[in-house]
Amino acid sequence: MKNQSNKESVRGTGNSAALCKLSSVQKGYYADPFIQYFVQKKEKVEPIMNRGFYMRVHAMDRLISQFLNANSESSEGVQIIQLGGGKDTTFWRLRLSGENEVVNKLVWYEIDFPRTIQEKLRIISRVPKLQEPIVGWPNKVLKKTSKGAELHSPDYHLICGDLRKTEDLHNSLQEHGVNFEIPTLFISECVLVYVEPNSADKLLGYITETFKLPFFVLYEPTNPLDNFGKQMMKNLSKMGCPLLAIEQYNSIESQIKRFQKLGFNYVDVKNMKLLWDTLGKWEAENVDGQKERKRIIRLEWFDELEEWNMIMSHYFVLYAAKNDQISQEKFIKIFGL
Amino acid sequence: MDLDWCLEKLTKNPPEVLPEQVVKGITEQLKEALIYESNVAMVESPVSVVGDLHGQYYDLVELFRVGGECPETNYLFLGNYVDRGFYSVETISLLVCLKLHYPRRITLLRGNHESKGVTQVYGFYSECLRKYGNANVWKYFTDMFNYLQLAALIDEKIFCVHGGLSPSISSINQIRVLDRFQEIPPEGALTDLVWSDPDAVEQETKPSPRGAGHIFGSQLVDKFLQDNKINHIIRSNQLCMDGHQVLFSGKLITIWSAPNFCYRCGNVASILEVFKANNSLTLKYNTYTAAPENERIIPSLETTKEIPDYFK
Repeated sequence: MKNQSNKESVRGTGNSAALCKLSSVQKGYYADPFIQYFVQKKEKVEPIMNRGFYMRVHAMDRLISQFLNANSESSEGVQIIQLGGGKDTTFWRLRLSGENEVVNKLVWYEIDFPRTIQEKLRIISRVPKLQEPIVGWPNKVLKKTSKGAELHSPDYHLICGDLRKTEDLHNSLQEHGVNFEIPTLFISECVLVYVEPNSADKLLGYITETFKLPFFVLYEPTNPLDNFGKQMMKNLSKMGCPLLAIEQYNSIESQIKRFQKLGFNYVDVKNMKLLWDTLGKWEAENVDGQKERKRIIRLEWFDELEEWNMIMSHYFVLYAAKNDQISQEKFIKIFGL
Repeated sequence: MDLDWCLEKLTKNPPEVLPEQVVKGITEQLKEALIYESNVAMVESPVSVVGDLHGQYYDLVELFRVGGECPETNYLFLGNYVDRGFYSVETISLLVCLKLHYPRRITLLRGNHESKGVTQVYGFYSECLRKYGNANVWKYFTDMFNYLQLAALIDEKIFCVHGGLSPSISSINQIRVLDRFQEIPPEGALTDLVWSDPDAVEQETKPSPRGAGHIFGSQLVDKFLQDNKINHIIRSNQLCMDGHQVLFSGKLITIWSAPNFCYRCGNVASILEVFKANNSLTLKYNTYTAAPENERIIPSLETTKEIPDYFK
């Protein structure tokens, strides 16, 4: 018996993610000086969640970095459109790191539920550190709309929207200066899986039809058919955030076919367990390939080994692009993990 | 100490936690009894061996239903009574009272979660704070954990321990002379006994990725069995989807007794009955699933965050 998808519960997953990310940061897994502002009440988080969210952020960060590197020559710049980002802090972390020069030519869009956008704006308005990189804060950037307040600065946009309504989405993006011709990365970090699959597919199709050089990064659960997967479906359903898309796309292979069918000619995936097992191997050849993994293992006791293997096998990251000019090999090399 | 009164409270549905002063009393009493016991308990068959429980009280009730009530059935518990699940307090309280009431019918060994440090990370400390408003009960129980025995020998032929073997221990007599009356140290023989895991492939003994203890292979197992003239090792510590796992041609058995672990793993649980049949020791697995949902109270009011957790 499936429970109804509860909008507030789905919205609440953003708060849950922020809490786990903060815990992971405070334990020393990775650095993020901004996430603390987005967590109201700190709660105890188990090591498996600390490590799991570290791996999630690690995968997303690497793929974003690869996208920026691959498109650094783009004279008109690049765009990142984050779908349902919740309390995500990547906009600020990118500007802080100063790693990529192309960040100076990056325009960042976030589309989320109106209530989430209002909450994010309230937090930004209280924290000067978050306001610093927002050009024109506050008078030139805060705008009232029929859906709620939004933020529109030259390189940062917070838009109230519903991912199931692609026409409204298109109008909002167009109104706020999206360039449909330049490389654009779309991010769905545990978002599309909560959306009814036909609506999600419509959105994906819209992206490949409307944008000339779209890239996509997707992080989601998968494999609902084994005992762990069945229990996950049941539990999330009870929590009011059922995985609506997962039955139709219940394997990594079906997700690859989905993206190919909807217009992305390059698609690759990595199971999160495999990513953990090979962590550090991507580092430069003169650095100890296992250094990062050893560093993580030393951070705290980790008694959840068997569960770790299980839960990580049920998550994957997918990266896709529509591009007529590069070979599949080059795509994997420049964009892949 | 009216143990019947305590047991009546703890076996209600839902169970009632014991008052703080009563917990102080029962833990003091158990410490006094255990101080005279050897590090290695000598147990006689028939006995049912139980693996990790991790605060899953309703599944312990189910275990007794499936395996037989105590004291009619003898039990040997391999540790990890607390942490992860929501009813660690009720679980450990019930087991302590049963041990005091029927001392020869039930043996409680120490697991790696019977530790002050680990229980502050994995939930028992938080649960005690929530249910009692202060950390006194946590202190009483964790002080008592330092007295729990480290291993057991069934009919002098089957060695039982929570985790596994240690590169610094070759004989059971070495275990007998360890000082167990302390918090589990970061490393050493005592740590290895409660934290280690076997590996089907590894031959060398290596540090465990858990952050304490070691991984050991068939070489160490064979030598330990031979040198100590025993036939089997039974241990817990590792989640088994089928409730149990057998390695090294039956010489080492892992038993896991927390079904649908953390309400998320979808696994079954097992207990292992050891008894004599036709003059030889026989092993029989009793496998069971989690207690039905209509027989357990799901704690939504008692916890502030959503359990179980996923990367959602």
